[in-house]
Amino acid sequence: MEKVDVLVIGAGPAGAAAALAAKKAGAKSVLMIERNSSGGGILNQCIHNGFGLQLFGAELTGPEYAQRYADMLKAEDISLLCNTTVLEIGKDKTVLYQNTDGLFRMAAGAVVVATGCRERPRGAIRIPGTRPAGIYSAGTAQRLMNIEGYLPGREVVILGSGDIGLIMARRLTLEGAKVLAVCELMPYSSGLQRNIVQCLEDFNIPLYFNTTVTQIHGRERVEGVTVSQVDATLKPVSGTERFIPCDTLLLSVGLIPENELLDNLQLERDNTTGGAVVNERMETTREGIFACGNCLHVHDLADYASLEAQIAGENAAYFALKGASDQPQIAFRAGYGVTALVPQRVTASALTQGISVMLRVKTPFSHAHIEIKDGEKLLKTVRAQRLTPGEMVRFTLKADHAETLLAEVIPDA
Amino acid sequence: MIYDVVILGAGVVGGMAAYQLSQYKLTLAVVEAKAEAGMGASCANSGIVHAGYDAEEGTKKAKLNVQGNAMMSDLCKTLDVPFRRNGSMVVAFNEDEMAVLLKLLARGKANSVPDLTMLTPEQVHQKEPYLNKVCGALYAPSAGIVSPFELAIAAVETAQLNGTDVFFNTTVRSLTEQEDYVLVDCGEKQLKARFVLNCTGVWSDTLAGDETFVIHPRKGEYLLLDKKCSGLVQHTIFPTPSAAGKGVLIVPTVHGNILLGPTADDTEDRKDTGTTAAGMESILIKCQKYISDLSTKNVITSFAGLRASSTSKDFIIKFAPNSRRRINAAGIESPGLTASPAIALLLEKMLADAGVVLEKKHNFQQRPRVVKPAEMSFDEKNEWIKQNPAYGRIVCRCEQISEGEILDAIARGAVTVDGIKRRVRAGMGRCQGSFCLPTVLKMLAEEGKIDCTEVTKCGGGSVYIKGTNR
Repeated sequence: MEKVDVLVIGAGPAGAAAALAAKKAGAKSVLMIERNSSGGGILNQCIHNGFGLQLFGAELTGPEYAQRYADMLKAEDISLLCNTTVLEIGKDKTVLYQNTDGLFRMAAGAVVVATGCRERPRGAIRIPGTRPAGIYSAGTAQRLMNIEGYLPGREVVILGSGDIGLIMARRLTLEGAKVLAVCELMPYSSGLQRNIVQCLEDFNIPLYFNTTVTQIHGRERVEGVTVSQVDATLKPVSGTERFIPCDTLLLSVGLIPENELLDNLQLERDNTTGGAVVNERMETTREGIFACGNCLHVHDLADYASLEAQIAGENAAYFALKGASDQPQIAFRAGYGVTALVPQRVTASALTQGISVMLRVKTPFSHAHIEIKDGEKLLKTVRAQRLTPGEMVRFTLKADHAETLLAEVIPDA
Repeated sequence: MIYDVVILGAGVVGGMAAYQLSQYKLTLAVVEAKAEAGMGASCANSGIVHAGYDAEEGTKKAKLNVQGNAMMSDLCKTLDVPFRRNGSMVVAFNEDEMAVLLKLLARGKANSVPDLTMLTPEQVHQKEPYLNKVCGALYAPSAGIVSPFELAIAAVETAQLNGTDVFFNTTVRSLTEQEDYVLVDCGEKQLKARFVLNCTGVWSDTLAGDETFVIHPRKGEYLLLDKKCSGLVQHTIFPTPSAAGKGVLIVPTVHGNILLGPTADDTEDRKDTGTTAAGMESILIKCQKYISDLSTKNVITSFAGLRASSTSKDFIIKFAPNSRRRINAAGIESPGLTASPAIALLLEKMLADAGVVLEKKHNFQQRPRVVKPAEMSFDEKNEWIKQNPAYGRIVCRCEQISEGEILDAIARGAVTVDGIKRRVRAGMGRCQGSFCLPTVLKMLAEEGKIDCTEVTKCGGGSVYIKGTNR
């Protein structure tokens, strides 16, 4: 069986960054496996700008961001196998994959999983009604428009104010479709503030909070949706129903990390992120298997996925070359107001050097900050520009010693 | 020309009749209103092959159920359709329900259901460890699960392969009986038939020429769970039946999902296959009686089908009054899927008794086996892909369906996105087609030599694409 030092599954913003970092950290052979026909992942269909500010100091479109990585990967002579699907990761770090040449097994010194995420479908939120054509997840509509050149609908209602939904509201409008409403179940958006301004407000597209779609109409093609207001428990309020005639319903109702490849590895999972439990090296609880990007936890910016993946790639290379490092001793828990955080495990020795932490808050907080504590002892105070579920909070945590770690939201005095 | 037999409806009943009759030297046609086979009740039901203890002794339902059940293993092997005899349990939670189970046991024995036994709570727990504590269960090892739409599709495809003309997107307007034939008026298309088999499900009373019964569609809603939940139950789990029917059940599908449902709500609208918030909520509440911590977290889709319930308690399989040429197979509600091969045999006998000469074709053939790379060994699959590279390229990542399999489905007759989905499962998985839809659209357009804007979900006006970008 052939063997590579580091095998990276997925060539999107995370996979590419991981592969590059692994090579730079000394891995002699790095192989990337990508199921689509080219690298770049979802960046290829993200033709809007806003990428690269953190990483390249330039405002790029998705394809431009992907091209920067493609050029760097080429310069480093990193192999990329496209149109290839990984079927299984063995506990011994052999990877089973297939493409039009056949079925193959490849051994790896370390594996980095960077398989991204998928969109939550209609069925998962159980919207009542018929099942006509014209119901798309926002990303599917984006692919149809930006890659295939097709207009999926002319009169559109969007459910969910996630970033892809917001971006698509603008995109559809620019192509001549009418976006009649963006409905958001929560009293706040899960998208970036800049997208609400640039994609909705600039185009006079109405955004209705505390509102959801309660019925889909139309037998063959969508003919309309009923929207209703919801109460504090998110239940539709009777009497608030409003019928909106439309031919398309776009869903932007959440992203689900895609981790089916981890199922047979029996590693620890985090129900709050939907990804694996990792330490500060982005290593899962199965030695030598690393995870990063949106399959680990859903990021707000591609740049952050790439930055996180650099850590994974670098450490995957070290693992492949030098073997196992110290095992983590400290559990990092999400406390009041914090939905989830990464890493969930921390090695004491790494803490003294400083570790990178990312977290999301449960609801928007005004006049609050985040505290990292070891029991009663305050280790760090983090102040973010905005504390809202749509935007990740990133910071470096450094401490000489800790027994436990807890992150929680603290209202300002 | 005058067809020997024209079958109205390409659901599982019409499909099995066509399959059965296509083995003889007869001229046959199937007329179907929808774009493909198995798009009515046949694509939205529990997929259960019932054992046969529900129906009252002596009824057609009872007899054809047990007979159809016994036929299912060989039939599905021949037609290459997924089928598994997983066994069913009717569970009781109290003494009153236990008494009902004993009645069911007696009825099952009277109906000649094989191997029926009562299980103790311990035996139930051993077989179904996730189930809440029960008082006991009626166990029917002969019960099974089948892919209902694949059964209908396979039957129609095989009939077609053996010379049956199948007219899709064709709605029958009226039937007029002449001296030598029945005129089947489908608007632009007019067919003549010596015999007509009316297998039109919820529409069957409108074409029956029989005022003695009426169809009252009864809607059943379902929730489908992710394959992650596979193993939650092994058997088909029924509640103790009541006057309202067989109740909401938990059933594994042949493809490894778990199905919850159905509800039972009468509706006057024969096209009303919409789900409701109340229906979906009630399914969950009822299923939590079996498994307390069941949640909707892993629901990947919901759907509803219409049972062709009628004013008759039994299946209606007989000639229309005062007709020598029109046979109705109507009111085929549960256990219609199970009974469908036996119904086909009964229809065949009725035709023979009416003078149709049944002479076997010497060149009757089954359709080629469906290529399923996922079921091949490493070496087989590797070799297969090397010979046929299209099977190496995965299009549907959730169900791991290759381009080759989708091309096969199109070659077999799929013309819609739903037709692909029901033949080879592309788009049937946890992302519900989010990723593979654009590719499937393009393949259907390319193979069908049509524009992408003309590709539909399920025929008619169900187009996906509304135009091109500016």
